[in-house]
Amino acid sequence: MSEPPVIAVDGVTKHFPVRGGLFAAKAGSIKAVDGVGFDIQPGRTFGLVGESGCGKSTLAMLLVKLLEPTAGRISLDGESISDLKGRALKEFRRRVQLVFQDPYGSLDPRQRMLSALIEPLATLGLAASRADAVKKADEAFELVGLDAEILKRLPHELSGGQRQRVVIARALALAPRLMILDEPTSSVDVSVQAQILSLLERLKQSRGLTYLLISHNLVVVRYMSDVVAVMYLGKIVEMARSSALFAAPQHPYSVALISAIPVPDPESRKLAALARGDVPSPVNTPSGCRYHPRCPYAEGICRESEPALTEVRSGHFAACHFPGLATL
Amino acid sequence: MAGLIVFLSILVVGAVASHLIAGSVVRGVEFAAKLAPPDVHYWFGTDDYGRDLFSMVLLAANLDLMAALSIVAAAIVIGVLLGAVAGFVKRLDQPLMRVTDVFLSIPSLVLAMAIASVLGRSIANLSIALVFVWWPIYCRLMRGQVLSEKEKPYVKALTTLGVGRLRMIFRHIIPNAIFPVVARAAADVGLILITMAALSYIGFGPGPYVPEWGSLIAAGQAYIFQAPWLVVFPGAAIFLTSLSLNLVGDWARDAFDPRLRS
Amino acid sequence: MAGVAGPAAVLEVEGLCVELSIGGKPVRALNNISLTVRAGETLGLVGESGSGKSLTALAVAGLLPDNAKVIAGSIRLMGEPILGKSEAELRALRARSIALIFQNPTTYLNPLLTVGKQIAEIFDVNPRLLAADGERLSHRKCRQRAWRAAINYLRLVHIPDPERVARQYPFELSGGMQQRAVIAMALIRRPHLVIADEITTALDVTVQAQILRLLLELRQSTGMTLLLITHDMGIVAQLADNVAVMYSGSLVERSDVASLFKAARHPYSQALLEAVPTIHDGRTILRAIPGGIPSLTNPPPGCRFHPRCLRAVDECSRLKPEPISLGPSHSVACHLYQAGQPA
Repeated sequence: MSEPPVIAVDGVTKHFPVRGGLFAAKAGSIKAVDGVGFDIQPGRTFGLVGESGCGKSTLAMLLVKLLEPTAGRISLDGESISDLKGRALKEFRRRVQLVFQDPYGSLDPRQRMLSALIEPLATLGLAASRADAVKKADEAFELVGLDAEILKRLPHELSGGQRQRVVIARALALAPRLMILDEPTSSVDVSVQAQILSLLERLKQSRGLTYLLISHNLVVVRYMSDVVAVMYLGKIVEMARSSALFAAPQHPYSVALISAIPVPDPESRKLAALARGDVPSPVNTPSGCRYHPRCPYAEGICRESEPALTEVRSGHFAACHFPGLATL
Repeated sequence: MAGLIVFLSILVVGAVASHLIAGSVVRGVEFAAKLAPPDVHYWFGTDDYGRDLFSMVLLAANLDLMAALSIVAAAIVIGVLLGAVAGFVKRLDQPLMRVTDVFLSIPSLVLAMAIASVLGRSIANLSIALVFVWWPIYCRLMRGQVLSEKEKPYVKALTTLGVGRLRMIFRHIIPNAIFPVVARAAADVGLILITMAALSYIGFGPGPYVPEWGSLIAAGQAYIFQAPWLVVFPGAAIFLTSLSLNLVGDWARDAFDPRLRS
Repeated sequence: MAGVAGPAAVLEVEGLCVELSIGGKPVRALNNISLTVRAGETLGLVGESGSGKSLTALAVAGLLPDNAKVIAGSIRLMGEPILGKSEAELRALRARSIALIFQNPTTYLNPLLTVGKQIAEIFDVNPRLLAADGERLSHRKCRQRAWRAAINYLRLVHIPDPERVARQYPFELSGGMQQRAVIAMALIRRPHLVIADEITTALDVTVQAQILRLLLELRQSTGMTLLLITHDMGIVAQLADNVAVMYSGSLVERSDVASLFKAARHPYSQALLEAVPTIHDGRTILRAIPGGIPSLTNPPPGCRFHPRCLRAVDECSRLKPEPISLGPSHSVACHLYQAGQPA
């Protein structure tokens, strides 16, 4: 463990002010991300799970500097990313790539695929000439298993699976340090999902990539991740090695998430709906433990004080006053 | 739709061909043939100076179309650039929008008349006046488009890929946002034509020796009962041209959107 | 499946073929679809995009789009044929016998009316649901009973604080609550058949679990007959009694749920089951299906799955396989199998 982590996130917070009233005065804030901290080791896949409103997408945007944190520190290979400008910023952009959730939306609808792949190589200064850029684009396409013919097409002429591969190729062509995959399989069919996941696994092994995988699909996260963190309303409520988390989740929310997945086995009909009520919005976060209104095990202390993320077993962290009480 | 493009091309060709017709026909006077009805010799008849109306209508076609197209082109260039800047650069948005508001709040004909009367009577000055009237419309439209385009995921994705602001505006945002503006402009050419003819008719257009459909109608108005053809033919020309331009605008809007798929 | 004694068939679809007109050209979107749903049963209709599962549901409800044409087959609901009915008859049929629930509840609910009002409105059209036989109610009494019934139905679908929610507008409710309200509206008329098309796809996982549990509960308490359309094999395993797997407009396999998961016969069904790593048994190896969903306008000849099928034989590219019965409740459309003899 002597290598520094690829990404180190420390106490990162992002608040969005909510304006209201006659003069758009600040009426409160959306605490989209609230004091999140974790490390991602090189060559590993870090899985971030959560439902809508948990802040995982905001966190992704903070990590690629599309947003700046309200507080906290993000470091890439040991160096803070907060004050990057000019060449250093471009170098950062090359090293951290985000594959967006909607591959169709993340492509300029008027740009042909070849141009879409070449452009970042040009803007980030990674190609010596146009010919060089075209060569790199061809290589990237080959890596993701796309026919060179696709380079001539426009986004709307491609299938969902092809578009997903294109955006992966676009990121890969930059040889990034960290690839953030935001819901990489949500917009493709089930039969194609497996292809994309296998592709991502293969690329990780062959190119020594490091992934941050963001998904609400626990099955996908479990398949791909080494370490998993569960987010709820802007905070990490549990974090552990993947096998440990899925075998023995300590936080009631993790238990609820895992047992909510319908198991494809008709002999084992144990669909459990353990989280009561709806996924709350981050505008009005509950007092104390944010999960308490939905938790079947909530006690007085849960309403009053917010539990800190503590190590409840070796390498296994949970933010709960009664960790381990809920079981699968 | 194709048929209308054909019609329009014929019109344009005819207008260009009119260059071959002696421009002097406007200054030529032949009292013997004055106010002659349409016949084999004078297809559209003649006016009170004996001038061949057909030649004049064609010459005016050239003038009117060129003027209308230039007005639209100038208005688009100014409107799009300012609109894109307003949409993209937050600090300049409000000041630019206030300026646009000033122009938009004055009724178009009044504004055009004011500017034209200051600049003097000529087709060029009339065109400038109309550019002043039209650019705010495109500016507003473009700004709205840019604002919404800016929020789209591909813009965010391109930012993470190192695309800078200038490149983003010119290579990505404007091409994607400009479409409604162009569609609107194609339809506007007809409207501009009519407006120009109207202004010309009330007397803000070029002088009596420059053939322009509006002024032809104005001149022919006095003889409307004796020689109705003097009003009918230029009027029909305006009507047919702007109708076909509208239809071309519709067609262009549908044909050029890359996002329209089967 | 003919001649098997048991509960009456609520829905019988036989040899349904539907053609869509895309860009002026006819496209075969549904090919020889046959399925049966008996009273009290849940049939899971599984498929990916382009499989035709939603189109089948629309056909059953008489809601096919304008560019769709039924060119063969029959649909019978409670023994009554649906095809060939007039629009007015279909509307009456839908009001009485079929309830549809779709993926996006927001598009279903009138944004300008409160939830309670929308539910109560259903009683306006069906006042007999409020009164005992022969009882005649004043207009005001109707309204009162309708409102109370609306609140009861909201309670039935486990909406907390139903009196308050009834006074809220749809946009004030979360996706899960909206979907529950739609389910409540569907059940009021006590339809013979409920068709649910991807009703949890747009919801968060924990909310999805709640809705699925609600469906299970309602099934038990009301004995409703459910045609459940989904792409999620997990949902099928947890809720369905029988399964029909569709691919590119054809029914490739029909079976009871246990047999499908234990011994799926069609290569596509097998591939679909192996394409999703299950969460409860360690790190499974993921088996990807090569290729993509075929286009409807230019489908592969013969069996539409053959270009992606690892066990395809010569015949597969030439001849479309007909469904073959492999047992009392299991049929498959694949050249690898002979009638009565599982391969």
